[in-house]
Amino acid sequence: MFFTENQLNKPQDKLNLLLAETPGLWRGNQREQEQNLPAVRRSNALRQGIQTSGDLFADPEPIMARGQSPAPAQSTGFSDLDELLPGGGWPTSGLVEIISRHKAIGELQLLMPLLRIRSHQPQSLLWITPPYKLHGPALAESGVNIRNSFVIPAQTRCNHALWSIEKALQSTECGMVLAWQNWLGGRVVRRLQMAACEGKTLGVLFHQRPTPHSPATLQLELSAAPDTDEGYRQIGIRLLRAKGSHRQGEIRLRLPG
Amino acid sequence: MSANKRALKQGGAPFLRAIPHSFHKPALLTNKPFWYALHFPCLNGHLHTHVDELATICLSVSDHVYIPGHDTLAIDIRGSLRLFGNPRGLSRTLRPKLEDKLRQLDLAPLYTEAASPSASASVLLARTGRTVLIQQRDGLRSELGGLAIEFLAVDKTIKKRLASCGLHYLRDLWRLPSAALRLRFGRELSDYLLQLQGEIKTSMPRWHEPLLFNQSISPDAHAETSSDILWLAGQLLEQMVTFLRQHHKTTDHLHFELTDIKLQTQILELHTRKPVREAEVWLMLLELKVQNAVIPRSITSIHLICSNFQDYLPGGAHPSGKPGQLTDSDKTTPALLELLSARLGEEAIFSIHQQEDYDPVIAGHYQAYEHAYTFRSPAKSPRSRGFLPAGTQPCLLLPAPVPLAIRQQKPVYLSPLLLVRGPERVETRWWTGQDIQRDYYVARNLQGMRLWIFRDLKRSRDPATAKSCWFLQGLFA
Repeated sequence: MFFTENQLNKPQDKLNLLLAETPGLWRGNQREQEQNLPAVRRSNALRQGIQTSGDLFADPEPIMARGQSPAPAQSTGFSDLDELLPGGGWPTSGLVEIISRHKAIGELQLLMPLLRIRSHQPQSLLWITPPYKLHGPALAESGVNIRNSFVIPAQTRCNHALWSIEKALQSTECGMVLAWQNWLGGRVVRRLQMAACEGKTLGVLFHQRPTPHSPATLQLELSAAPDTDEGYRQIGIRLLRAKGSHRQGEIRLRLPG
Repeated sequence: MSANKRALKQGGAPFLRAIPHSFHKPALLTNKPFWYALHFPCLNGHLHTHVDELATICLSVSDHVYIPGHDTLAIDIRGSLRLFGNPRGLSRTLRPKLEDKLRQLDLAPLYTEAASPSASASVLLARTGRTVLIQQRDGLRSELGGLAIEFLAVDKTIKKRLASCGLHYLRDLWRLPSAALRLRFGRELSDYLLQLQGEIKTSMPRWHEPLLFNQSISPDAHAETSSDILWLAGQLLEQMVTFLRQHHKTTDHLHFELTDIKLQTQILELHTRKPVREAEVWLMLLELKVQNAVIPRSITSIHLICSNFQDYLPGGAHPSGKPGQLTDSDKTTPALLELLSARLGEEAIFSIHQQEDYDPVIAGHYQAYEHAYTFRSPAKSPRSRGFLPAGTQPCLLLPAPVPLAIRQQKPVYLSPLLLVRGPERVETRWWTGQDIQRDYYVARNLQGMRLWIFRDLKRSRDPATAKSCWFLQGLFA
């Protein structure tokens, strides 16, 4: 593509012409491309998108291999979180790492809509080494079917706990596993991820430190946030990594209650 | 006209001959009841399994073996398809086998036997040590008449009452009218007398040979690795599952014996909390055992024994209410939880329980998972949630309240706490002497943690403990 000098007098014009000649080359807002907006508007929109999100390679859909259907997801119960996560919600199987330095900042409240649904399914829930005792009345009050939940207490040895997590994730009888461990190495997380894929089970691991280059399906970092003016609790959620997607982002979520 | 001539006239074969009359007398008539009883005095106080072993020997003469007591056997001869000849032949058949068995069990090879048309009479005669053969029912009264009433299988109070009436022998009872006897001493005695005379049938529990699955497998090539052992065991388990299905049974205990090239046997016992009959479950448990076991040499044979069975009720069957009978729907994820408890221990897995109580520690507690069932619909919420309103209790509770430090008159947990909600007062358990009086608050610290704390009112009133009256109870995760 060659342009005459008159056409290329201004840098902005050069850019517009380049974009007009190569519509499919640049990843951008595909909706605007489909609407056939003029090149100027398209370039302005693209520039704005870059400035606001800071992500040049924003991908509205996760990268999938050819012929592979998008991974199914279930709504988190929070619309902002659904928009942040690839697939529009929690994965139906695989490993989700939730990292938070401190406990009791609302990490379980984040999962409560998911727990309500999963606890009413035939497969059971397994809680492995929670840091403290689970309070049945509070869980029942939140809508969780505690009769379908089983607990391996915190006194269990670490190797036994890891073995239990792996077996539970491999089992098709278990619908969801929630496990607490201070930190796990990449190899262990990979092994658990494979077990979760094998059993098509959803596993949620609560850590205090992130695992570098984690092979988990989803990795979120939670942080405490100041309460709203009305006194509602807030939690900061940062998407560190999502398998099959380059998406990243950070939101602040208002928790119920 | 003799039977032979009649048969010939009707065109039958010429070699039919009538049975001589002398042959009829000692033979047993199949249309008449006939009971053969054995009493083993040496079994008094011994295990019930001994009489089972002796009953197994009696199966060689009849399928209908009964056990009226732990030391007595009764055999129904009438329906036997294996016995030919007369009662003396029966005694000769059984005696050597029974004596051998008693010697094997380190017991005296002594027993008494009696045979008569009445089961109760045969048992009574054998127990009293009278080796008697009574062919006809008519002879029962005369033979039993001399027996003392104290040998009868009736209640002690009835025997005392009979003795107090001056009735000491059975012949004394034969003389009394049966209607008056029934009226005076009750139905139990009159029915028993009728059973002794063969007028009515005696109801006794029929003995069935205990089921046993006992199979072994010896491969041509020795099993070198655990996968070889599991593959061989899998074949045995498939056979066992077929056996269980044929007999409508299930089991919760298996016994594996691994024999190595030096003929040393290693035993692996597998137990489940509830009976299962899926080979995959047993194989999973066996895999765990094999991984933890030390098998120094190659295995030449594997032996599987299963002797503990329960009736199998498929899912949806009406529960019979009998202990030991469980339906499939009552099993709670058996494979996974059985596997986990096999490694972690029996008391390592819990289910979450809730009950109505103002004390939060008692309101929510753990229960051993074996008391839980499989997926159940959520329980109705308690009529009252205690004093605390909905949504004010945390999901995580400390096992015991942790005292909080006080700094500038504010409780501290990693940082000074800000009280967000409260107080909500709980006063309960005053009737136990360990009453609690607490004001509960929801607090927040600088790290963003939401905590459930309380102020112990009893301690706050005492100046000596007023400074340490704040406690942490739970966390709002």
